[in-house]
Amino acid sequence: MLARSKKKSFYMTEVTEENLTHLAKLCRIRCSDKERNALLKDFRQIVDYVEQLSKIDTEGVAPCSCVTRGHTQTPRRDDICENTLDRELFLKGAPSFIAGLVRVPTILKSKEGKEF
Amino acid sequence: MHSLSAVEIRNRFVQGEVSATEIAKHFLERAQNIDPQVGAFLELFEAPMLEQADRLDAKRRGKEPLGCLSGVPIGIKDILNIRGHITTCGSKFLKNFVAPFDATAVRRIREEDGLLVGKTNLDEFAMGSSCEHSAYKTTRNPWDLKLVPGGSSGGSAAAVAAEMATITLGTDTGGSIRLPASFCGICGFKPTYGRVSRSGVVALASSFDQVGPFAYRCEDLELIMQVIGAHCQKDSTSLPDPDFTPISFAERFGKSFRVGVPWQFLEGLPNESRAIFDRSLSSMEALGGEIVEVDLSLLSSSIAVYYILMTAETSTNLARFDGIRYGVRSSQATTLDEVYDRSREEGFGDEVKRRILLGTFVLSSGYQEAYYKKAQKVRQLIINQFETAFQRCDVVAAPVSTGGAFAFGAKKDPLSMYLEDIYTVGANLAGLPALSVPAGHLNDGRPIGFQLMAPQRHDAEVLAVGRAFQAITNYHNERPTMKGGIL
Repeated sequence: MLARSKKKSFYMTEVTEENLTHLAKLCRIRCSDKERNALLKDFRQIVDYVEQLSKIDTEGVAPCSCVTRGHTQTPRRDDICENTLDRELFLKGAPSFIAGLVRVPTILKSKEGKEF
Repeated sequence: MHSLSAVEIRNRFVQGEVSATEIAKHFLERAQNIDPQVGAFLELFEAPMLEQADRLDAKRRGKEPLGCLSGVPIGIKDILNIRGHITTCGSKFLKNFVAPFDATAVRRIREEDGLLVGKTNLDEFAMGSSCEHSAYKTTRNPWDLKLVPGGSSGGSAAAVAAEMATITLGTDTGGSIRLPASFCGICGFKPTYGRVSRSGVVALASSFDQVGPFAYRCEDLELIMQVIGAHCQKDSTSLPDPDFTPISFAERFGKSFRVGVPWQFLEGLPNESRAIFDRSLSSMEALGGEIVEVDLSLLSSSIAVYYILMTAETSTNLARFDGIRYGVRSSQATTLDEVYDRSREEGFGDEVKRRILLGTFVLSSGYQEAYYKKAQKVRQLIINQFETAFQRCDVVAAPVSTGGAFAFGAKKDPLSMYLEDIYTVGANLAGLPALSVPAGHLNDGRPIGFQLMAPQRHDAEVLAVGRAFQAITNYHNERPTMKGGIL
């Protein structure tokens, strides 16, 4: 959980450099110090703006779960197995592939540090 | 030929007055001459379009049945897949991604013999209101090359405005069809959520995204909606409704026609824009419309709701761009973690990174309740407010934007860019069909549009009102002057 100032109201959020670094790690968006500073400024401005919602009374209102009128959840189609995409065609779009599979860098190593 | 409507082009082709090859050559030549100044297209389908035209001519010679879009030149926003062509989404991340299948909307256009002109420019992953966030090129407004075309579907709007295609497809998540339509002096239609299949469309925010068309005339929007406005098995949110069918304004609204106006929401609209809006309302009255006031006061919070929910959905949707299965993998990466981190760092632009971070923030532990859930509750209240409004009226009228197109670089901070969507995001939050129709020009010549919204599934009603509006106005017959360029 991110640090939040307890003194301020529920919505008053402090966006700190530390928070931003943590968020960046969670969503795997690396940014340079310069980028982080610019983002921090934008972030604070946007977060301040959206806090206007705290003034709206939503007591007893169920959150919108499906925008289509008459539906309370997204309709689902029947789960029928079918061929959708040719494997070779799909692999053409992959950055790296081998023997009909997508290739990724080694993930596992042996205790001695040898790659499998 | 380029000033003809899609219906006229189709009819001339079907009657044998012009060949598909002649049409294709004409539009390709026009795009080759004009697009270096406008920059609407990311890829022009020179050879494929001529091949498609050749096959269509053979079909006509062989007296085979001809599709309802026969010979109509159509451009596609580069976020919809066209098999065998690169779908960049305006991002470096997908600079080499060759689409392995057609988006449903594209497949349907092909089946009805529409001629594909090319892929049009956009803000990266459709995130923007000016088209300035494309990683590839600058698209300029055909009315004045110093101005943005609007976004995110800026290339599609500019291509129609400069008559390099008769119809184009765009996507509208928070105004991305209606805003550029307004800025470029053409019609743009966002159908009801679920009316057009999202299959094969790269997702930005899945509970908002909707594919829709641009054209100068509402009758052309109706023509293409008959092709793309159909149920699709591959999109679980596709409406299980009968295909889109146009309706007659006189039959539907001849006896009673009520136009709701959220006056409170219009406070702060600049005088010039307000004068154009008032004149459009007079046209509604000339069509027999009774103007009634409706309360949509919650729309003043729509941008706040939208930027919480949209970024939340965006951060989730864009997690799939990890450098593993498609797109660009960083050549610097040696470990799996580096593949993710570096590919995303190198592949995404600033606005995309900003929105992913914001979305991650509003969904993160401890904040989800305060931001995401709160926004979904206010979204429900906005939907309720629209429902109450539509008990009093058939359509709601509103401006599309506060003003006309702005200069490149004019909106420096992200929030001021987000606020451009203040009049458009309401329809996305409530899943409503909404149209931007040309409504006149500001004193300096910049065009602006007039917006009409209706209850969900009333797509045909909105377009019928738009067609009636165009029958008594002339703004859609005016053409851009390419100020600052050579026509």
